[in-house]
Amino acid sequence: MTASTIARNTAAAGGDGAGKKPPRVPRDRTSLWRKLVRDRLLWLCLLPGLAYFLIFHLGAAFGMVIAFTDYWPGISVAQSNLVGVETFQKMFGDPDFWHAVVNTVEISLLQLVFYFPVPLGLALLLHSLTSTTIKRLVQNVVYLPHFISWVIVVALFQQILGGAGVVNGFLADHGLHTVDIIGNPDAFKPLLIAQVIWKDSGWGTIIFLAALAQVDDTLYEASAMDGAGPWRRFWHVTLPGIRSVIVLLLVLRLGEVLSVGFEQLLLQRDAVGPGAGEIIDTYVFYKSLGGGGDFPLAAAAGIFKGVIGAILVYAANKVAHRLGEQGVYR
Amino acid sequence: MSSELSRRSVFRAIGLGATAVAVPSLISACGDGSGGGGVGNAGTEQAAWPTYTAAKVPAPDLPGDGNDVQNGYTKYPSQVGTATNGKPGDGSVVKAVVITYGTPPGPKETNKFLQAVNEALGIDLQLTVVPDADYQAKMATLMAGDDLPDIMNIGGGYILPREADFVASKCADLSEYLSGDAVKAYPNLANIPTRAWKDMGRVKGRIMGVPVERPAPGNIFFANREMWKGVGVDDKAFSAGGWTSTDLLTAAKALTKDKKYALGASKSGNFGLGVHAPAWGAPNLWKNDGGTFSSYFTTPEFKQAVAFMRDLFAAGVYYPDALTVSQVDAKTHFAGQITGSLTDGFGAYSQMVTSAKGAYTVAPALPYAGGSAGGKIFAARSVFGYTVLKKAAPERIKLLLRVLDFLAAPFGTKEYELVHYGVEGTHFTRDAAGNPVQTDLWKGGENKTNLPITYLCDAPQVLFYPGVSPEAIALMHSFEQKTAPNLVRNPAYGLVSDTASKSEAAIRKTITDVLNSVVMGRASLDDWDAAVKRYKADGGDKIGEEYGKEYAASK
Repeated sequence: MTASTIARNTAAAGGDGAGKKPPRVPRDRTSLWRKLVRDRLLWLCLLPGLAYFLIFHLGAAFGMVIAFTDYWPGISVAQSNLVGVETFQKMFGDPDFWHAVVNTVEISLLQLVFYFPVPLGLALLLHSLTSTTIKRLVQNVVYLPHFISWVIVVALFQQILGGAGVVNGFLADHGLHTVDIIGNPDAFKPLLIAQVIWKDSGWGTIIFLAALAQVDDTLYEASAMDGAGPWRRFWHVTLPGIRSVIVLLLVLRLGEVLSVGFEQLLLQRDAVGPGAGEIIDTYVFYKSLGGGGDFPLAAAAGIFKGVIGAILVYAANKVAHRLGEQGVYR
Repeated sequence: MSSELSRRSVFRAIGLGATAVAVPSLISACGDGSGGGGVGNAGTEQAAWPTYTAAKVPAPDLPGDGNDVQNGYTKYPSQVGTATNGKPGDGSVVKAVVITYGTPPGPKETNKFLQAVNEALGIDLQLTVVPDADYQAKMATLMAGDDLPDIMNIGGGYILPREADFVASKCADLSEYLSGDAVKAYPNLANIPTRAWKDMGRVKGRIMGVPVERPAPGNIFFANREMWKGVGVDDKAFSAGGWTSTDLLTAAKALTKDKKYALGASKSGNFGLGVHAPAWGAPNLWKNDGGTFSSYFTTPEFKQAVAFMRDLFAAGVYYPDALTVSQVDAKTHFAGQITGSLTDGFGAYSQMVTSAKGAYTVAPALPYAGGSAGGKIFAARSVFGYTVLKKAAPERIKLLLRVLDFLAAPFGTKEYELVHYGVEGTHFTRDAAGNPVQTDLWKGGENKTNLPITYLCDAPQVLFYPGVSPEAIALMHSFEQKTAPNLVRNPAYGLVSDTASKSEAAIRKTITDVLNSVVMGRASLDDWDAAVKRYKADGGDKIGEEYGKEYAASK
C-alpha cells in the first residue's frame, strides 16, 4: 500500500465519520507538507537532535514508572507489582535523604554565589585584552582543565593539598603546622567549589565571550566621548548588553539546582563521610547501583529532582519576564 | 499526506519496540522469579553436596593438613600429568563475565595466551572483564538486562543487589549435574573441597554454582619485616607470637617518622578492620550463639577494636589520606616502603613478595592480642566467589561444566600449567631446577591477571608461585600452621537470608560510614552505639533471625 492510497483511505474514512463538514484538514496538511518540503534541509539538520531527545530523554522518561513499582534488576518492569507512592513515602521518611537534599542545596548555592560569577569576570577580563595573540593563548590555557576528567582533578588536588601531599610535605619539612584540607569535612565544601572553579570557569567563559562580542562597539565609542570611564562603560554598556545572556544562564542553572556534580562527589564522599559529602546523587547511587539494589527509590529521587527543577525554571522564567527579560521561553 | 503515514509508522515502530522489550521477559516470567518467593533453604529439600573425590597430585614437600593448611611446594614437580580427556568445547562461542584487577586483555588476534586457552578448551571465549571499582554497578546493570552471558562469576567479596533472587530466577540449576556422585563426571570439580561448596551455599535447596576455592586465612597483616625489626617487635610479631595491642601501638609510633607510616590504609580497607576485629576477639561477621545469630557490629569486642583503631588513628600512625587512596595505591606505598604494613587478603601475598624485589621481607604478622579473648584471625570465606551459568539446554550446560572442569585441573597437571603460567616458551621458560620462569611477555601484561580466567573456575590453591623464593613459601606455610588453631569462621557463610539479599549492602554502607568517622575522631564512640542500634533496626536483627532459621533447617 502506498502512502497516497493510505492517505486517501484515511481521508475517506474521516469524511464518513464527520458527516457533511467540509474536509478542512487536508488543506492544512498540504501546507504542512509544503513547509516540510520547503525547509527540508533544516528539518534534516534537526533530525538527529530530535531523535536524541525523543529516544534518550522522552523515551527514557517512561522508566520513571519503576518508582511506583517493586521492580528489581532480574525481572522486567512488566513483571513488577504496582506499589503506589510507597517508595516516595519511604524516601521522604528517611532522614538520610533530607540530609542529602540539604547538602545538595548548600553546595548548589555555594556554586551559584562563588562559581557562577567567575566565568563572567574571566570573560570580561579576556574581552578587555587588546592583543589577540595573548587572548587566544590565555583562552586555550583556561579551556584545558575542562577536558581533564574528575578522577585526575581529584587526584591532583589530593597530591597537592593532601596529608601526604606537596604542601603538607613542604610545611612539615620546615617544621611548620600542617594543614588539614583533604578529608576534612569542614573544608570539604569550599574545596569542591575551588575544584569546580579550577576546572570549569575557563570553559564557562565561552558563552559570555560570545555575548560580549555582540555588544556594539559604537556604544563604547559614544560613551567614551561622553566622558565615561572604564567602570561606567562596563556598567552602562557592557552589562546591559549581556544581561539577557546572564539571566538565561542563571535560569537554566536554577533548573539544575539539585545536580551538583555526581562524579566529583562520588570520588570524594568517603573521605569526608556522608555528613558533609552525601548529595542526592550519591544517596541514590548507594541505594541502587552501588549495592543497595533499590531501583524504585533511585527513580523516585530522579522524579523529585525533575519536579523541583521544573518548578524552579518556571518560576525563575516568570521572574525574568517581570524584570523585562526574555528568559528561556515566553 | 504522508505525514499521516509517518506518524502512524512511528507509533507502530514504538509499539513494536515495546513488544520486543517485553517478550523475552515474559518468557523468563515462567520461572519462579517475580520477586516475592523467597530464596532461603529452610523448608526446602536440599540437594546433596558434590561427593569429594581427591585428585592425584604430586607429593608436596611442605604437606598441608587437608583443611586449613595448604600443600606447599618449594620447587615445581618434575612430572606433570593430564587431568582431562579431549577438548571440552565444540568450537562454539562462549560468553563470560568476570571481575578483573588488571587491565583489559589484548584482542584474541594478538593475544597468544587467549589463543592457547581457546585452542585447549575448544571454544571461542568472549570474556567481558569488569574492573573491581565498577563491579557492583556493572553487574547490577547486567542483571537487569536480558542478554546474559553463558558464564558469570559473582565474586570479589561483593554482595550484589538481590543476588540470591537473581541466581534463583535467571541461572541454571546445576544440582542434577553436580549433586552427590553426579559430580564424578567432572573429576576436577569433584576435587574441590566440600568446605568451598558449603561456603558458597545453596539457594532454595539447590546447587546453583561452582565455587572458586580459597585457602583458610582471611585478612592478613602483611608487614615489612625489616622496618618492624627496627622497633623491637620482630620475635613477638613474626615468629614466637604473643604480642599485644600495646606492643603494636608503641612499635607503630616509633616506626612512624620521616614521612614513613607504620600502617598502610585505603578506601576499601577500613583501617585494617579485618585484622583488628579478630585480634580483639570479635566474631567473623556473624556470631552463632546456640542458633541465635547476631552481627559482629553489635558485640562489645568489635567496639573495643573500633576504639583501638581510633587510638591508632589519633597517634597518626596510619598513612594520611587513608580514605582517599585505593588499595592499588596502598600497595604501591607498601612496595615503596612508605608504609610499613598493609592489611590485605591472602591472595595478595605472592604479588607483594614479587613487588618487594628482595629489598625487604614481606612477612605475615601473627595476630596480636587485644583484650582478654583476642589474638584470633578471621577465616576467609572458602571461596573467592562462585560461577553461575545462564539457563540453557542440558547439552550446553554440560559443555560449560566441562569448560569449568578444565579450568579446575589441579596443580601438577598440563591443564593447570596452561591456565596459570601460559604457553611454555612463550609465557614461561624453565630454570635449571625445572621451575617455571615468567617471560617478559607474561610480565608485560599477557597473563592471568589481565585475562582472569582463573576467577571463572580454579583448582584448590597450593603454596607455589613462580618467582617466589622457597623461603617465602615456607614462611607462609609456617604462618598457616601457627594460625590454624586461631581461625574464626563465619557461621553464616552458605546460609541465605532474604533480607540480607535485599538490604544488607545498603545498611552495611551506612554503618561503615559511621565506623570510618569514629576511627577518624569525627564521631564519638557513643555515635557508634547509635549506629549499631540503627543497623539492628534497619535489618540487622531480621537478617540474624533469618540466618537462625536457615541454620536450624540445615542441621
